[in-house]
Amino acid sequence: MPFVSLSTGLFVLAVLAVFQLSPPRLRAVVLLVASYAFYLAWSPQGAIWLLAVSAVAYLAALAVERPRAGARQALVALSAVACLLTVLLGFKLADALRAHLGAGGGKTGGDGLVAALLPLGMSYYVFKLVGYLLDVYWGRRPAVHSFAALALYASFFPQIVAGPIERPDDFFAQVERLELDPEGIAAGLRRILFGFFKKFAIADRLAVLVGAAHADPATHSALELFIAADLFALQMYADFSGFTDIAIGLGQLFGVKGPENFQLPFFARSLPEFWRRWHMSLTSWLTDYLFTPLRMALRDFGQAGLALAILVNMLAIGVWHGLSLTYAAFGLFNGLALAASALTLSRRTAFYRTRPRLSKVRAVLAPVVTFHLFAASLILFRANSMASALGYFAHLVPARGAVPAFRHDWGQLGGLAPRSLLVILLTAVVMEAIHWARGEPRAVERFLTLPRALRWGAYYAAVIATLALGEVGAHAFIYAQF
Amino acid sequence: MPSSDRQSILGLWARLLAFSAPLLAGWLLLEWGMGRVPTSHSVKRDRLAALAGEVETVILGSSEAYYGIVPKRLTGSAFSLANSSQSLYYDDALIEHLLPRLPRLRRVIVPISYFTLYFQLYDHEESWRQYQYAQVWGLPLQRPADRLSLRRFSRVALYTPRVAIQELFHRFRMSLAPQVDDRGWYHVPEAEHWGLGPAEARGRLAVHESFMHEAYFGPNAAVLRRLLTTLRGRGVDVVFVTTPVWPTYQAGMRPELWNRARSTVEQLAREYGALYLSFLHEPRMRAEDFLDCDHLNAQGALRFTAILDASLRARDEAAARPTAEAAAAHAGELAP
Repeated sequence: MPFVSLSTGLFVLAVLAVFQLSPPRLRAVVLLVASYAFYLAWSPQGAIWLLAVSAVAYLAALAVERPRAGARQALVALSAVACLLTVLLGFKLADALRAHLGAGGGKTGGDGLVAALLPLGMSYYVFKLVGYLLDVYWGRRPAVHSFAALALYASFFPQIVAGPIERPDDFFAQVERLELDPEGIAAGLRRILFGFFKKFAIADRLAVLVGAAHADPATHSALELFIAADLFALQMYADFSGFTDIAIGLGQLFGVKGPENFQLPFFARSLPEFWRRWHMSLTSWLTDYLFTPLRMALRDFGQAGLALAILVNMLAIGVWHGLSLTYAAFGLFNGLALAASALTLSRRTAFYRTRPRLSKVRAVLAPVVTFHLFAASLILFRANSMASALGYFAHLVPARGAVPAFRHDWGQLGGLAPRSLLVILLTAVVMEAIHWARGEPRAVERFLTLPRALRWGAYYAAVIATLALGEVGAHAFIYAQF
Repeated sequence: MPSSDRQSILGLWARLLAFSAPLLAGWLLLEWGMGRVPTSHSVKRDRLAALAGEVETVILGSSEAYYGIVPKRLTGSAFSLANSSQSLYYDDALIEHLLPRLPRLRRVIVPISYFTLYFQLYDHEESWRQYQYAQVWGLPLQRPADRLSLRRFSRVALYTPRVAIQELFHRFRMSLAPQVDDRGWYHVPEAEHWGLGPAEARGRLAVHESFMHEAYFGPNAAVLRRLLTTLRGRGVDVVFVTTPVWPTYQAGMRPELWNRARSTVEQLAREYGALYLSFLHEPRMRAEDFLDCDHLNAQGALRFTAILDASLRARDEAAARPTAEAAAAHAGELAP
C-alpha cells in the first residue's frame, strides 16, 4: 500500500480508533498487529524477512546479555550482527545486479521491477536491530525479554518506510506507557500537515525541473544545470524532512515520538556541522556504532587514522543508500571533504583568529559554500550512473557543449515558469521559518496560545497552499526506496 | 480509559470534525465542478456516442497515433481512440468495451511503436492516466492494488487539487482537451517544436527506455493476440501501423528490442490475416512535419495520414479486384 494513499489514510484512522478504544495493556499489541498488517499489504515475503531478522536479533541479544560476557557471547554477537548485515547487503547487491542487468547499468529506481528486491524499509530496521544488539552486548542496556516488544520496535509502521532510525532506549521507554495524549495527537496532526506541505508544495514541484536536467544534461546550459543542482538539494531536503515529519507525526498519534532527522542543515557553516544536522538519526547511528569504534581502533595512527575513519564512515553512508558507484562516490566525495576539513581545522582556526575581517566574510560565505559542496555531491546521488554524473559535471563547465552557457530556458527545465519557481522558493522560506520556530519553545508556545480562529486560519492556509501549489500524489518519497 | 481522558479525546475528534467540515465541503464542490470539465477521454466518449452508428475505422495507440493520424483524412468514417501513453492493455479493453456499440466497424488501426510491447501504463511516469479509463469508460484497472486508489474515485485527486482549484477560478469552463477535435485527433499547437538533433533523440530514447521492460513483452504479446482474436472473430480487419520517426531516433533504437517487437507483430499479422504497414523510415516526411523525433505535428499528421490512407486504399482496391473479377466471371456464367 503506497504511503500516501487513500488506503493508508483509512488504515491509520482505523488503527487509531482501535488503539484509542483498547485498554492500555493491549495498545502495544494493537500497534504490532497493525504494523505487520501494514507490512503484509506491501509484501508478504518481506514480512517474513522482517520477522526472521527480528527473531535473530531477539535470540542473539538474550544470548549475549551481560553479565555473561565472554568469548562465546562475543562470537554470538559478531555472528548475529554479521548475519543481519549480510542479509541487508545481499539484498542491496541483488538489487544492484538486477538494476545493472535490467536497466543498462543504472542504480535501482523507485519504480516497479528494478527496485522490487529489497524489502521495504530493510535498511532502517536492520540498523535498528544491529544497534540494539550491540547496545546489549556492550552492556549499555538489558535485552528485551518480550519478542513482541522487539518485533514492534523493528516493524513500527510509521517508521518502517524511511525511518527515522529510533534508538531502542527511547522507543521502549515510550512503548511501556502508551497513553492517550490529546496534545500529542494534535501535535502529530500538525506535524503531518507540515510534512505534506513540504512534500507536495516544494519537493514535488521541484522534482519536475530537476528530473528534466538530469534526464539529458547535454541539452541544458551550464546555468540551468547549476540551478537544477542547487534545487535538487532543496528538493531532497523538503522531500526527506517532509517524510520524517509525517513519520514522527504518525508516531505521535500513537504516543511514540521518533527522533529528529534535520536541524536547519542549510545554515551549517561547515560540512562537518552540516552532517551533524542532516539525516541525524543515520549519522548519529553510524557515529556510535561505526565511526567511534573505528576511531578508537585507529587512534594510534593519529591524523591518518582520523581521516581513514571519516572516509570509511562516509563511504558507509553512501553505500547504505545502495550498492552503486554513484552512491559510493557520493560518500567518498563527502568523506574526502570532511577529512580535509578535519585535517586542516587547527590551521584554519589559527589563520582566521588573526584576521577578524576575513573571519566575518567567512561567517557569511561559509553556509553558501557548504550548501554548494553538498549540492555538488548530490549530483552523484541523483545520477543514474557514473557516466551520467560525469556528463552532468562536464556540462557544468561553461566552455563545454553546444548550448549557450548562460541560457535559461525554463521550458527546458520541465516547463516550470519563473513565477512558479519564485513561489516555490518563497514557500521554502516559509518552511525554513517554521523549522526555525519549531526549535524555539517560546515561539511554539506563543502560537499554541493564539485564538483558535488564527490557529485554524494558519492550518487552513497550509492545507490550501499544499493543495493549490502542490503536485499531490505525483511522486514517491525519495528515501522510501532505501 | 479514565473519563477525563475520554472527554478530551472526544473533544479532539469533535474539533477535528469541525475543522474538516469546510475542507470536505470545498472538496465536494471541486469534485462536482471537475465532473463538468471536458477531458480528452470525456470528449472522445461523448463524440463517439454520437457517431457510433457510422464509425467504420477506429485508431488505437499512444501519442504517436493520437497526434499523427487524422481520422477525418482517412477514407470513410474514422475515429481516434488513441491517447497519450495508452498501452495495449487499454487498447484491448477499449475495443472489448466498445465493440458491441460499433455496428459498422470494419477496420481497427493498431499502432506499434518502439516501446509498445515493452511497457505497461501502471509502471510509467504517467500512470495516473490509467484512472481516466476507469473513471470515464468504466474499464477495469490492470492491477487490483490500484483499485483502492483515491484517483479511481475522485477527479480532484486524478487531475490534482491544483488543477481543480485553477478550474474553480475559471468556473470549471476551461477544457482540459482544447486541442482534441470531434473525431478524437489531437491537433498539436503550431508553435510547438522540440528539436530533432541527436541530443534530442537521445533524450527521447532515454525517456522511452526508462519505462521499457523485457518482462512486459510476453503479457503485451498475449494482449495483442487476444485483441486480434476478438476483432478477426467479428470480421474486423486489423492494420498494424508504425508511425514515422526522425532518422536520429531510428539510429538510436536498440536493434534487438525493435527487431523482436517487429517480428512478433509480423508473425501475428500473418497468423491472423492482418496487415502490417511500417512507416518507421518514411522518406516523404520532412523535418518540418515533426514535433519531436517520434511525434508528428499537425502538418505532418495531415501528410502522413494521406500516405497511410493511400496505402490502405491501394490494399483495399487490390483485395477487391479479384473479388470483382470473380463476380464478373460469376455473372458471365449466369448470363444466358
